[in-house]
Amino acid sequence: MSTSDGRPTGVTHAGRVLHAGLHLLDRQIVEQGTGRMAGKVDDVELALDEDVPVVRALLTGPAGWGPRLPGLLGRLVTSVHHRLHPAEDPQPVAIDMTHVVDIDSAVHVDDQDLGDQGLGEWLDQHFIGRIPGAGDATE
Amino acid sequence: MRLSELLGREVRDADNEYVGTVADLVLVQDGPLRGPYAASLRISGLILVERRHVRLLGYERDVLPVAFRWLLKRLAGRISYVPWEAVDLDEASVTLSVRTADLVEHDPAYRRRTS
Amino acid sequence: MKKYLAVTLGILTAIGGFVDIGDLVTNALVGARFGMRLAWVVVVGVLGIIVFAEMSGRIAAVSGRATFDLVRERLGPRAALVGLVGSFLVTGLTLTAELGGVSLAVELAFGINYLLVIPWVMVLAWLVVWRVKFNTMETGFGLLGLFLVVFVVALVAAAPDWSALGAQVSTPRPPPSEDWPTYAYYAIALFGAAMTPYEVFFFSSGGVEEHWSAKDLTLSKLNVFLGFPLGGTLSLSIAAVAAVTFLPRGIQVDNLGQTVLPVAVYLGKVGLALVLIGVFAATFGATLETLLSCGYSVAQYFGWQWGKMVRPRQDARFHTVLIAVLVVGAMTLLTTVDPVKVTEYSVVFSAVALPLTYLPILIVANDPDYLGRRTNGPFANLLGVSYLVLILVASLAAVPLMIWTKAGQ
Repeated sequence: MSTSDGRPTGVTHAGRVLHAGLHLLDRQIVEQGTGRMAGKVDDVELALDEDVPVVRALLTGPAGWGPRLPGLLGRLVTSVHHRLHPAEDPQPVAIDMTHVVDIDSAVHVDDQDLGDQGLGEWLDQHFIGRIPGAGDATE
Repeated sequence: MRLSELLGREVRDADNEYVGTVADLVLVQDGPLRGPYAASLRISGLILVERRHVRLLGYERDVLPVAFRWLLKRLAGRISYVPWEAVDLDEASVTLSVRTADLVEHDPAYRRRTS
Repeated sequence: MKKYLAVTLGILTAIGGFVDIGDLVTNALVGARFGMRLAWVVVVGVLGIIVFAEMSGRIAAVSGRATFDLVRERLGPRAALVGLVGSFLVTGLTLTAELGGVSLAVELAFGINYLLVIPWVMVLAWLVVWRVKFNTMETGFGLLGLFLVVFVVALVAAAPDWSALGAQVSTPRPPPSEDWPTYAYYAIALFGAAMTPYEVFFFSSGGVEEHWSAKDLTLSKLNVFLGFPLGGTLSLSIAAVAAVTFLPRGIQVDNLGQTVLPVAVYLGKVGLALVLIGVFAATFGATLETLLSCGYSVAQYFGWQWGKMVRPRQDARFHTVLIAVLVVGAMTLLTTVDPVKVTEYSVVFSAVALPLTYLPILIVANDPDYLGRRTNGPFANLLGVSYLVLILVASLAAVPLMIWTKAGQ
C-alpha cells in the first residue's frame, strides 16, 4: 500500500524518518557537551511489547558487538568477555533513548558517566596513567 | 528484542511463501514523549530485500552514487516496505499478514520528493 | 606565515605515502630497471589519492568523523573487522619498516650500525606521540621532509638527456630486459603505495586533531592539491635520478644507500648531507604517520576516544595500542629482517584493505546526513567510481602477480 507519489504508508511526516540499521547501528556515540567519544552503537534494544513499538535503548560494549561477529569468532569474543568481566552475566551498557540529544552523523548523548569504559579505565589505572605526563594535554 | 536479532531474519508472507529478509527498520520520531529531548522513535515498518546477505549501504535512502544504485538494485532483487501493522513476530520468524503480490516496492526517492 | 604552514598536514601525509622508506628504495629500483616507463602509474596514483583524500578531508571537516568511523558504519562490524585486520597489518608492517628506515638513515650519516639505533628511534617516536603537539609535529616533519627536493636539484645537476627521459615516460611498456608480468607487478606496487589506506586515516584524523570545521574546507582542499602532487614529484625525481645514474650501467638498486648515492655523485657532500636530513625527516614522519594510523583505525573501529588532542589518560586504550605496535615493530626489526623487504609483504594485505577502505568513503561522500549540501557532484562520483574499479582490479591482481614474479625478481 502506498500513496500516489510512492510514499510508503504508515510513515507520517510529522516526525523525522530514520532507518534503524543505517542511522543508529554502528554509529559513533558522542557526549554532547565535552565532545568525548563514548563507544559505538553496538546494538539497539527494541521495545516491541509496548502499545507503540519504539526504540528503547542503545547498547554498547563487547557484550553488544561480540554476538554480532560470525560463528566461532563471535563465541570466542563473548566467552573471553564473560571470563574477564566481574559480573555473572555481563550485559552491554544500555543508554536509554531519553539520553539521546540528537542524531546526525553520530549519536549525541547528554553528559554522563557512560559508555563501556572498563578496559580504558583499567589501562589508565595500571599502565598509561602511571607514565609521566599522562595527565598533561599537549594542546 | 535486539535489532541485530531482527535484521537478516527470513520473512514469509500470508501464504507462507518466502518473501525476503529484513534489511532495516523504518523509524519515525513521533512516538510517546520520553525524556526531555524528543519524541521517541516509533517503529513504523520493515524494509525487506529479496536476496540474502545484501547490504543496502544507504540505497534505501537514496544517498548513493548513480552507478551503485543500479548495481545494488540488481543485486538485491525486490526491495519492499511493510508497515508494522502487517508484521507478526515470534521468537524465530517474521510473518506478514499480506501476500507477496500485495507488497509495495520501496521507493528511495520519496525522501527527496517530499523534502 | 601560520596560514601558509597550514598545508603541512597534506605534505606530511604525502610524504608518508610517496617517499617513505619503501617508496624511497622502490622508486630508485624502478628507475634503475625501467627508467621512467612507469611514471604514468605515479600520476594515476596521485590523482587517485587526491580524489579520496579530498573526500575524506571534506567528511572530517564537515562532520568531524574520521575515515575508519565510516568503514564500520557502512560495512558493518564483520566486513570492517576484515578491513581493520588488513589495514592494521599493512600499517603495522610499514611502521616496522619506517623504524628501520630512520635507523638506516642514521647509519648512513654517522656510521653507527642501524640495529643499535633502532631502540632510540622507538623511544623518540614514542616521545613525540606522547608529548609533542600534533600541529608542531606536522609542521616540523612536513617542512624538514621537503629537503628531499634535493633529488630534483640532483637531477638537474646531472644534466640528463631530457628527451630520452621524456621518451621513456611516454612508453608505457617494459624495456627489453624486463617482461610484462614484472612490469605489471611494479605498476600495482606503485599504485598501491600511492593509495595506501593509512594516508586517508592519517589525513582525516589529522583534520579532526586540528579541529577542522566546515570553514576549513578550502584549507583541506589546499592540503590535498598541494601535498600529493608534491609527493608524486619527489617520487618521480628519485626514479629519474636513478634512471640517469644506474639504468645505463645496468646496476640494480635494493637499498637506501644506493638510493641516495646519485645525490652524492652530482651534488657532493653538501647534497648528501641535505638529502640525508630529508630522508631522516621523511622516514621519521612516515613512522609517526603509520604509528598514529594504527591507533586511529583500531580506536575508530571500537568507538574509543582517540587522538593527541586529549590527555593520554583519557584515551588510554589508544596510547596502549601505539606503545604495543612500537614495541612489536622494534622487536621484529631486531631479528635483522630487511626493513625494505617488509614493505613488500605488506602489498598482500593492501589488496584486502584498499577496497574496504575506499568504498565507504565514496558512499558517505554522497550522504547529505553527513555533508549537507556538500555531497559529491557527478564529476567527483565519476572519478571515485572509476578509481574504485581500478582498485578492485589491482587488488585482485596483486597477490597472483606477486607469486608469479616472485615479488619482482
